[in-house]
Amino acid sequence: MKCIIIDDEAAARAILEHLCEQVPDLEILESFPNAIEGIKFLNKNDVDLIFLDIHMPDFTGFDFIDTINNPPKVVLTTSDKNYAVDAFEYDCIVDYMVKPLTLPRFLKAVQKAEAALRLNITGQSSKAEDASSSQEKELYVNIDRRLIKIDFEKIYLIEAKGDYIFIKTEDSNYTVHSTLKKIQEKLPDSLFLKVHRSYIINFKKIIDIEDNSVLIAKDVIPISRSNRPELMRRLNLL
Amino acid sequence: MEHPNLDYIKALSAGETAFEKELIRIIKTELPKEIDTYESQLKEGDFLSAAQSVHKLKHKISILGMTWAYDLAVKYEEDLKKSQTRLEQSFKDVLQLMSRFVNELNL
Repeated sequence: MKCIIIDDEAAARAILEHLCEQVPDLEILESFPNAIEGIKFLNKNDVDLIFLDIHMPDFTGFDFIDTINNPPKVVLTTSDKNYAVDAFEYDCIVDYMVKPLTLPRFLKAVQKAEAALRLNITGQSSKAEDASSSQEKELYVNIDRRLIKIDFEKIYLIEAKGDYIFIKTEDSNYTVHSTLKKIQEKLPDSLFLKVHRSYIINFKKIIDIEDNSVLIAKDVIPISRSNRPELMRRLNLL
Repeated sequence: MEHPNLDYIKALSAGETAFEKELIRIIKTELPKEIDTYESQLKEGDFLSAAQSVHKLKHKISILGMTWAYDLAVKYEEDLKKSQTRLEQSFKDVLQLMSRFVNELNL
């Protein structure tokens, strides 16, 4: 974990630096005697954790947190027990240590920070997985200011006509102001294939192929010479 | 009155004398400045600022292991926020004791 220390008292900074040195995974990037210097540093550097004093002249620890966007995890260090309740108002604050600091108490705070960071990372990756799995199943199209969900599996054909595309599904057809190129970028390659400059088909829905055309539902779609080899390659031919 | 000691610093250093020396050097430099600031604020009748200085001095008191004096400082800080100075002399005694102890420490 990359950390910084912000405390106007030199003795407090020295104690925190000494404690940080006892934890191999903790790297002190810098120590600052005031919040302003800390903000300047944060604007240019990635920091995982801040050890932050509350009582500082002019700019308190809470002022500091209020000022920065998307603050890293914070462990408050203070000689005052009275601010613990205020600390709960901030999601970024993972612990609240009352001075004088001891190694066991410090290690506990570091463990809390590590756990909070792990939770953040896990949360972010599971959100990304959810998003990506949703992108593999469906597509939202803008029709008359409404975003309509279309399941990929239900689409059997997409046809380009001028500035519009027609999306044909088992249930309905949709006319969308877009291009084949744009929608192709959103479609999974595992299901869809461009067979002609004006047509993309869901090749799981193919009924039959005859010469240079393919039957999809009730539509007979031309296959261009340049796209035919890729279609043939994808078929499970006997 | 209890005496200042190095118990906390020794426990924290776990035998690392370089850290002990560095921390004592910092306290030797920082403590007189903090006391000066507090005294001038008190002299000017700026009790709120004096309370903030007492708050900062509390940490030094705890570093020097003075539990009773720490409790006194907590009360005094609260008093000063209400412009009350009844504990001024007791706190002054604490500061004198600390200063003497710190000045006598060898690096």
